[in-house]
Amino acid sequence: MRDTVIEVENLVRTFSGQRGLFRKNSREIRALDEVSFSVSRGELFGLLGPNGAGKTTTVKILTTLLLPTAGKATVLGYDVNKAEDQIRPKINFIFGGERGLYWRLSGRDNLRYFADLYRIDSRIQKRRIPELLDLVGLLDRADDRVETYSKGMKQRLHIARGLINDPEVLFLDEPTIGLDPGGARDLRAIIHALTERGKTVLLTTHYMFEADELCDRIAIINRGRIAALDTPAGLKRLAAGLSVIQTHVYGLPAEKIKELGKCPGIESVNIKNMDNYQILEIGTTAPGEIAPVVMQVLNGFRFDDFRIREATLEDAYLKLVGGAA
Amino acid sequence: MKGDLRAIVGTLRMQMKTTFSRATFKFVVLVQPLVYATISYMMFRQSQNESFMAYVVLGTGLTTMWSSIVFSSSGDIERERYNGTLELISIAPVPLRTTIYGKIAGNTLLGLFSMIYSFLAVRIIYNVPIVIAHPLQFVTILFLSILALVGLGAVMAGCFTLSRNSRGLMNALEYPVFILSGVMFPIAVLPQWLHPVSYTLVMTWVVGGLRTSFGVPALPFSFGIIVAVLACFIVGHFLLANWLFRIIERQVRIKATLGVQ
Repeated sequence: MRDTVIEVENLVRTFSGQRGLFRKNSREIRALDEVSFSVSRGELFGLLGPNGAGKTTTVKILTTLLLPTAGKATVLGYDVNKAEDQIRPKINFIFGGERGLYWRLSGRDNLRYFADLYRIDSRIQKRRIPELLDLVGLLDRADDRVETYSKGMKQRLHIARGLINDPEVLFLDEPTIGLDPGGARDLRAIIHALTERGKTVLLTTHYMFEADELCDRIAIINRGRIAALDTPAGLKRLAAGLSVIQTHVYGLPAEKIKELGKCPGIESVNIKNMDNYQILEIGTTAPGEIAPVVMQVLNGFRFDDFRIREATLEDAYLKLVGGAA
Repeated sequence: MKGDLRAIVGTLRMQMKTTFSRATFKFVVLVQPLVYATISYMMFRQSQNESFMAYVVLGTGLTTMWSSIVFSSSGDIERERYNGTLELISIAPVPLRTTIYGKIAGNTLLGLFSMIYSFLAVRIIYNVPIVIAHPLQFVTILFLSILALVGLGAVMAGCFTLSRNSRGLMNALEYPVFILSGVMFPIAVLPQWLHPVSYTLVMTWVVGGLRTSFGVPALPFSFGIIVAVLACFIVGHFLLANWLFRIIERQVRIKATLGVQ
């Protein structure tokens, strides 16, 4: 049996926000609400959810950047609340986007600086830095300033930076965000290779296919709560028996979408905005009965390409998070 | 310990590299002293050589050093926050306070460089001989001044780490301090009721001490008293900075002020 590396029990985190320009009113935002899960050694665990679901807050607590308001979290057996000195040398944190690097320094200088902050011996630095640059395919651009790198190169440098201390646990917060499909694919290949090196990885993403492709298990988080936790195959079973009525609509008003959501027998309603039209997806277990209802609601509005298909993992996800992706 | 020392040197190296690559900093170090020197030269050209030395040369050098140590040390935290690197350096095993002291050390070296550059620029452009009447006093005060300003830079950096709203404090520390501490003119010309305020500012004692070493006393106190007051400022700043860093490391994890979304 594999040992548990991350243990999260009833984790709660609240933030206080202020509203108003002159008379400021404080209000409490509950970002995490009794979240519990555990991650085993060598596992690639995914936290999947829409923006603002609580993914980044969870990662920030586990990486000792934030303190929990209530509940308990341990990493490698150490309490994040009071044992940050024991946790920090053994973990690292990589987030998506272009921030988090010194743009005016070269890629090599960035790695050297973070190696110093992780108290890596200079002999090890001399060996490890070129190895990491090679791993992420930046060896030939190592001495160029980061500001001259593409988004994908910066993200790969982030990965190298996150591996500088050879961490036992790696936290990846939406690492492929903003990357083109090729760059995202390359990055996913690197992440996959990390688990083959025995790293435990906690990945947050709001891309369903990414979690499906990479993760051993996925927790779907929504509004600060775990909505489902299973293997990708297990989550797909949530969509068993579910069908999706899909059609292209043109300028369908929001009140009609709300009206559809209230119809008995409809499990979920999702709308995707395209350039000239919208894709309306309606999850149901009784497509034969619901299809005429949908047509009746859409009566008077232009729609085409009306069809019924089997539900996918993404549909199961949308059902759980209420189409808020 | 060895690892932390390497981290301080690494931070110092990074700090100097990134700072030198910023156009604004090049302006502050290379152009601004010439502008200050020219303005003060126009103001003081009718006065005696000693006053010119004490006000133009020192004033120019000190304003640049003040900006470099105190301003940059606090501004760097803001820059790191918006770059997304403040969170990363905060969760590194080397304590955040060590990293911040490394940054201040880098800024101090740059500040000293800009002060020497200012002295040389004034010497060359206006052909004013730089004569230090009491070199030992000068070295003593310069050493104490650097320590006091490093301590103040640490306090400022601490305030910035804890709060994103410290910019007002930072802005209040430039021209008002130059006026109140008598960088460009003696505080004697300020209204009497402002003098107690001036005496609460470390810069007043830095300027007063250095002028005394130039043979142009600007404060109604002996050299010994100036040294003692500066020593008190050093102890006070470092105690305050250490207290701030102790509470900051936990408070930032509660208040979530290390990053911006």
